Amino acid sequence: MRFFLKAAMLMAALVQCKKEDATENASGGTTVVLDVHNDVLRWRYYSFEKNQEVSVENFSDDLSWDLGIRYESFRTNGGKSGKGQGAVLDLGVVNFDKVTMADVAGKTFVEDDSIMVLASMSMPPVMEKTPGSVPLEDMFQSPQGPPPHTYTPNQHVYVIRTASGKHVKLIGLSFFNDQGEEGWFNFKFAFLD
Amino acid sequence: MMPVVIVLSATAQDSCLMVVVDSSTGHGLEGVHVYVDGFRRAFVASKGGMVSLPCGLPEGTRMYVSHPEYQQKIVSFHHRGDTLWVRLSPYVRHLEEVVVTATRTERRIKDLAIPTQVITSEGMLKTGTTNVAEALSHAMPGFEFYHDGRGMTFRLQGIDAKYTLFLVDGERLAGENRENTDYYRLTTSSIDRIEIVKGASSSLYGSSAMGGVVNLITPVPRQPFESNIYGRLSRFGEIETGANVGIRQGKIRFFTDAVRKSMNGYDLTPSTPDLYTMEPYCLYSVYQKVMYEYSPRLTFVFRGGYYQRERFDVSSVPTHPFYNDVNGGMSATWKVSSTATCKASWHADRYRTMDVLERLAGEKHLVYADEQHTGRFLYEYRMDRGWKTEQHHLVAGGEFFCDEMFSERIRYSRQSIENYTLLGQDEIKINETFSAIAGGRLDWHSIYGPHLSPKLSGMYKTGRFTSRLSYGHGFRAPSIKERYYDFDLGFIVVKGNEHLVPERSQYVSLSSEYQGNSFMPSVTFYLNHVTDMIHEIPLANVENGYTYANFSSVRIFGIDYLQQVKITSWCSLFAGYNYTDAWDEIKQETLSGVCKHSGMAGCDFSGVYRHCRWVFSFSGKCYGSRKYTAMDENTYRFYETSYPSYSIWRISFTQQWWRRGIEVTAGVNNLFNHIGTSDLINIDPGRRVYLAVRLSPEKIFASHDKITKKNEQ
Repeated sequence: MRFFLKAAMLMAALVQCKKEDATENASGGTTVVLDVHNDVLRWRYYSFEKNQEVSVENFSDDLSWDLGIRYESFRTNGGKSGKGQGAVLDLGVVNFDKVTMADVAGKTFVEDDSIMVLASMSMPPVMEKTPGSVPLEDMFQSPQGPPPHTYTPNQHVYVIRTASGKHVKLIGLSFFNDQGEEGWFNFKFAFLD
Repeated sequence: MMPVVIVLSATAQDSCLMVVVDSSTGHGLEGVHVYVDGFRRAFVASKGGMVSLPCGLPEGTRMYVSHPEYQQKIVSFHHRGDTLWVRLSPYVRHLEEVVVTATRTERRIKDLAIPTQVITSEGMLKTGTTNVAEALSHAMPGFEFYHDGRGMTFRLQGIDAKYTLFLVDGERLAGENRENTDYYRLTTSSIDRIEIVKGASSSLYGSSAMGGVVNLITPVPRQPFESNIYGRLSRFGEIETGANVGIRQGKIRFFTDAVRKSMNGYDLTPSTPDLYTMEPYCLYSVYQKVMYEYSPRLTFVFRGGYYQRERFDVSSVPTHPFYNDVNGGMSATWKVSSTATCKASWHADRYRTMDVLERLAGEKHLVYADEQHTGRFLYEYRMDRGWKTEQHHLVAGGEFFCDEMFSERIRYSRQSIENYTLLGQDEIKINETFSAIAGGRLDWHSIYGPHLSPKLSGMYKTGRFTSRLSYGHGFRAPSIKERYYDFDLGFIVVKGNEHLVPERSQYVSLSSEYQGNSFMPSVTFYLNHVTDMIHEIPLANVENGYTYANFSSVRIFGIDYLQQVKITSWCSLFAGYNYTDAWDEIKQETLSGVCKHSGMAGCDFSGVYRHCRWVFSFSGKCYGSRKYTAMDENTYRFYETSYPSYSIWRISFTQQWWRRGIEVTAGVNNLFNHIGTSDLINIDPGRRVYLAVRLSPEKIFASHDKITKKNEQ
């Protein structure tokens, strides 16, 4: 029994080809599918302006990225995570298409602080503290404990302030690919300004 | 079982007397109801089964003679001026029940040296039972079904489900699913009875029959036409509908059963709404059996079945599992002479598990498949006189079995095993009081080579007492998964072990029973010593690596006590108790998850109202506390915890109408609303009211004349 639970608990990273896909939506916004299933221990960085993943040597000094992704953890380029203007505003469950800059006016953005992420592939899991976005921690929700992890999107629309100070609305759509394998970050974003 | 015979004495037109007695023993029966056409009230038999009937009944007046425990009979009144004897047969005569599991040949329970328990379809109907798990756990102490992280599973006499072999008509079920079979496949509508032989039975059934054998026997149509259409509605959107038809025409018997069952699921952990305790599902099952009697000596049986179950995922995971199974086979039985019979059979079963890819228009991705083929030849010979014995019943034969499994999680994705068997058994009746069974099975496994499984049983009968002493050797060959698992997920490694050897057990039981007219207790003491038990252990030199090893040795001592008490002809009580002491000799501790004390109890009341039978049933099962291992959700560490003792009770009422062609059952499962859930185990979701209706069209539309004629036959 222990064996099966342990096996299932960490059965997240299946060997797959990398896949990154971005499509423009007719209703506005760009849908991106980012393969992060092998990125439990490392960060990857995405630029909304370039609409692609960027290579980053030192994340805290680099202004080329807007959103950092480490499996289901995130950071923005601001606060403890970077020297940019990055921060995030959680608008809750609202209609993504109808969010405009008017919805953001006067609201307080939350800069990055510290979050807990998995530090090593060991049993029991070892966690470590690292700079990251606290509001974005809830984008995908799973029951605590062993799998199956459901990664249910909370349907919240987030407004992310980029490194350069622009505003992007973003919603997490799914954490699975079409084959039902987890570790595929599906999200939609659109610039507000 | 109390005997009943009916004697109708019509001595004169002004004086009529009916006496009720058993068809086999001639004992009178009190409480028989006689309904006479034209009279609104029933005439009830007094002591000795005597009924005073109204005077001056017209010739041919129909009378319906009913007793809750016996088959109703319709007789016509005739002025013959002498005594008319009418005989009734009981619904179920437990000791006369013919069973096949213990010896692979047809035997009456009372003549068997190997203890066998039977749950009949009649018994299941009476209590509103619609699934095999419920039937087993309510009828036998020590049989506990529950859900854990692996799905539905159970323990029997202290050991896991993988040590008990489930069969349908004596054939294995493909698809090792979480250590045992997919129990949803086993629908009660296509079952005539369930036979249970506890303890090691590897001498007949080979690998895995270490803890016991549960054999589900499908019906054989006995009437020209019999049919059932039924539906059942219960809490959590549980809906079951189905129909079955049995036809007996000339040399052909034909049985078809079709079932659809669905459930909306339930969630006992509201804090995780996207992770249901029991997910919604929908299943379909079709079973077909055709028997062709080519000649009085040669009979063929063809059977086939299809099953599918789709388990719907309520979470955001864009896949959900789909299971299906196709099975079929045939057998031929040739009565060579009055003393010799040959039987040859072949059976195939293919079980598959697929992921339904919801984003790809329901495309299915195969993740697991298991295909089994079994060929068997048995020769049965009865010798009426032997050396210092009255009778020998010899069974000898051979068997071929192959199992091929596909899974993405086993080495090379596909593995197979083959097994060739020679088996022999002699059932010896030494005299009227003593009989014995000696048998053995020699398996040649394609990986593990030869293995001998002997078995020896003796039975001593004196008066109403019967005692049985039985020894059996059991074994379980390591499963394909245990040999060939091959996970390497980076942070966890799981490897099968090709050096595993079969698990072995030595099982001894001593049982004694008393068959009184109204008091039927039985007690069984058993000792099961399992060695080379397979467990998961850390893999050397690999962090977070696990493998399997023959690591444990377990000694299980237990007591089964069962008792039936027939208070009156319309009321009976039953109770059972099981004590299990399962001790892990390596870890020097009680085996995790085993509860030492368990029991069941209940009572049935039955009667007849306006020619139709009613049954009220109340029963319960209870289990003592047990310790088991659970995982802390925050630290991911395992810890010892316990599950408290609990009991689950149910109540049901069944009433028949319209010549017994309509049967309605209403009941409540888990009457006292025990919501059994813990870190790992889900026992029961709570109180569930249900309503079930069963229609038998041929009874509803049959004329009285046909019924009378049939009964007179």
